[in-house]
Amino acid sequence: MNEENINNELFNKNNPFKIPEGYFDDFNSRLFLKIENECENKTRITFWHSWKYKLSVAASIAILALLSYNVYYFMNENKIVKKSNVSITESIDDSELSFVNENHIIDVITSDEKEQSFEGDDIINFLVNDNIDENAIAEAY
Amino acid sequence: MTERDDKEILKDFENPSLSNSAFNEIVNKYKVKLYWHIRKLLVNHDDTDDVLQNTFIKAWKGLNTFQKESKLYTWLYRIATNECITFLQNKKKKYFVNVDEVNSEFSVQLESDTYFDGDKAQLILQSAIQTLPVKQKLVFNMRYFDEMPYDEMSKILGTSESALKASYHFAVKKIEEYLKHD
Repeated sequence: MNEENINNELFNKNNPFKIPEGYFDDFNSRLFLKIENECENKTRITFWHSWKYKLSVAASIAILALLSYNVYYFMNENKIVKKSNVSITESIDDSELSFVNENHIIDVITSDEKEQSFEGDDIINFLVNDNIDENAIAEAY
Repeated sequence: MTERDDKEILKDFENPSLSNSAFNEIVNKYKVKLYWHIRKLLVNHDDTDDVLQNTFIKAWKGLNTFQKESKLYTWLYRIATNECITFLQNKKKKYFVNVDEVNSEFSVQLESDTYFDGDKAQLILQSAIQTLPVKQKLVFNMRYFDEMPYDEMSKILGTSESALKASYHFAVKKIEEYLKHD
């Protein structure tokens, strides 16, 4: 069917519009090319919007949340242990101090024993007697 | 080569090995008719080409869900019409200009358009049509140029026949007013 005939048949009026020459000849090939491109884009878009993608994002968030919780729990657990240690130490100190008499402390301070000092020979004798390696002490300090 | 019946072509489309050739047949059968339906609304050839391609792409995607009870031609016409409306609305949003500016610009553009071969009267008529709201423009074109019956227009546009008659009446009045003042 001729294009011009169709125009006249459709319009039944004078058609003032023209079409570029050969426009309809390659229309189908251009259209199918565009459809192919659309399908390719759709495949790409489909992946990003697919349930697999959503599931992987949800799983990542869940793993991240779980890791964060574990790290938080671990850090708090250490704090709890430290706190309990402190409280035990504090309670021991309190109990020890409760048995210390104030006058006894004054006596100890004012007595001659407070001036007790260690001579160099005493230290050497102590190290020899207790078999302590002086190199080990040097390395440690 | 004689054109096959739409039902036969659609039956072939359901077969994966024949779907491409069946769709090609549909495109061959309706591309010219749809082109002119779109062209009369959009006037510009390049815009028409874009919208016609989009129409067939939508048809390709939706043909599996097409209700066999309705006519394929009516369905394609409806897609093309909706695509035109969307295109015009987007254009209106993109180039936010008032109606008078659009009309004066349109006349100049149409005169210099290499694919417009009309005389002075046709240029004025096309300019007058451009002043109509989209729905009235559609109804006017389908009735005046295509001489489409109101019942068929009703199926395509999803509007009652009485409403379409009223739209056409208003469109004609507006065009007459435009021609008087020009």
